[in-house]
Amino acid sequence: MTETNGTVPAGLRLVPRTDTEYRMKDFKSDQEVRWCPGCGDYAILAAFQSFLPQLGVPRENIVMVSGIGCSSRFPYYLSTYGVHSIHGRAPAIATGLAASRPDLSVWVVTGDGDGLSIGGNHLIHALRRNVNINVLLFNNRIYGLTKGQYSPTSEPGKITKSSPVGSLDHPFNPVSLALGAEASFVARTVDSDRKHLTSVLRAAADHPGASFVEIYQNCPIFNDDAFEPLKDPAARDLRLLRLEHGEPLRLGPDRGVVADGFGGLEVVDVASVDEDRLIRHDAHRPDPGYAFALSRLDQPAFEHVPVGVFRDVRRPVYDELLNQQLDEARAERGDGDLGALLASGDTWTVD
Amino acid sequence: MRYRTPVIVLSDGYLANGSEPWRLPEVAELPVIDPGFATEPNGPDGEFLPYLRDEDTLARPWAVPGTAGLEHRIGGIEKHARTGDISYTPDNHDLMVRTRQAKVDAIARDIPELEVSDPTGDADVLVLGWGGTYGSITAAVRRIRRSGGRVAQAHLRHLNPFPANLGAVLRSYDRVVVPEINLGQLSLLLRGRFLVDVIGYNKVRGLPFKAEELADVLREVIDRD
Ligand code: SF4
Repeated sequence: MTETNGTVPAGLRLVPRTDTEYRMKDFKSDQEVRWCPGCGDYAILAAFQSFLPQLGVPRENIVMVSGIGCSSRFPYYLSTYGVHSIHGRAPAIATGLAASRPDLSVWVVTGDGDGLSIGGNHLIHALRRNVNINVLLFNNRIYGLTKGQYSPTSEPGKITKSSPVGSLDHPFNPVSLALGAEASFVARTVDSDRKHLTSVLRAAADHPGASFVEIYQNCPIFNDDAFEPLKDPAARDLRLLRLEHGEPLRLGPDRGVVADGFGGLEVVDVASVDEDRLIRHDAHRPDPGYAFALSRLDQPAFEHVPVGVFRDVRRPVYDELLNQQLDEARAERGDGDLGALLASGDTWTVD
Repeated sequence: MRYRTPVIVLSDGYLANGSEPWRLPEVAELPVIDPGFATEPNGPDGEFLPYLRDEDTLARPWAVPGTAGLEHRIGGIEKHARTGDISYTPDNHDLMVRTRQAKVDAIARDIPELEVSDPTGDADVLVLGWGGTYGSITAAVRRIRRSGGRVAQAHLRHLNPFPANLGAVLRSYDRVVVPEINLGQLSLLLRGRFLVDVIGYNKVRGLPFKAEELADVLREVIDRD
């Protein structure tokens, strides 16, 4: 539900605009990129660098905040302001920054380890508060930086260095988690589909409040081909459920999504149902139930995986509420007086 | 802020739970906190060098987002001592570790010297404390002095860096007693830093020292040959 004020997207309406015609190279830093050859992070970085000029925001007003992990080296490779911060705490730092500096476009870069293990709490609280930040979670379903242990999104039974006879953990579905935290914007995209990735980034930036974007990212070293079923050109279109607001939910020519009668959704042969029973995607439904049901469609694994914007609704934005509260309190009571506050308790004067 | 370094204030359960009269500061007399943010490039070619340090304090410049031309990245990976680029060079890492230590060490210039109370000026024994033991130590010292004993007392307010004169103070007494409500953390530092064999008195009962108990300890040390 992106509202624009003239040409300024709602999510950026307090951020200054620039007339500078940036190019992709203006957002590349001079640092040597140190990901493994073939890492999906390269594709995401390239897409992000070529997307940034579209924002129309001065370079100095963009801040990248990351935690720890392969994905968290991202800020070093952009010529904006950036901080490679504390493991799992990027959402907390970004919250402080966005709350105190509404003139900044703040991006969090995290991964399935950083964002869902050690940083799980910071992530859900930033989302529920609806701080005006954009969270990009690179999901490679493995711990890459520490050399291949199972992560909170690894599939059960996965054999890794830390689970030699198979992981017992039930994984998080990051989109379901974000929706459960009542995030106002939740999307999923894939590292190798630049066009789709860019359109999702654009929608996230435009959204006022917290935007959560899960990006399926291939780690060729420790978890190669984790998303291969979604990349093989022949099978891809039968498996990817591309979410377009207002369009019927279809997978290829033969399958579509209908209500299952219990508040959930199911995939059926289109031939077996009436065409108008197919659900038309509505990203703006205030109740997150429908988007949650959509997020559950990814089982059985890779049979039908929704990508695109699951949910995009307006609700009060934390940093705006905070600044409004401060302004109102000032208007009502005047500026604070620290001396008077200190002397307001049980104090006395010694002559 | 002047040194761009985090400061850890060690508080005390008794401070949190106790109460005593306290003079409130005059807000107008408090020093102004001015972060002195960088607004201009500081490099010779008009570039911004986020790790170029102030010669005096060794502090790095701080440029905040929104300042055009000073965009830069910070983070936990070791950085080149001047440019702030990621650096894996062994010599640079060695230099950076030494520089960070030198920066903290130099803060000693800005903290007051350790004051010693030694009313007779000829005590042989110094009792040195830190933190919440001040009250018990002071009461014990008072008892010793009232009964004609000689003992010097000093209390540390800064632990890292230590006051610049601490080594000289320790060496000017025959014996140094360090009462601590732990197993000797300050003693360990003093021995390691100054090679002075301080006498620790340690208890960890979750209760403060009693004045008489400490006075007994001090008497015993004073009476040693
Ligand atoms: S370990 Fe995996 S995620 Fe990390 S840089 Fe290498 S390929 Fe990329």
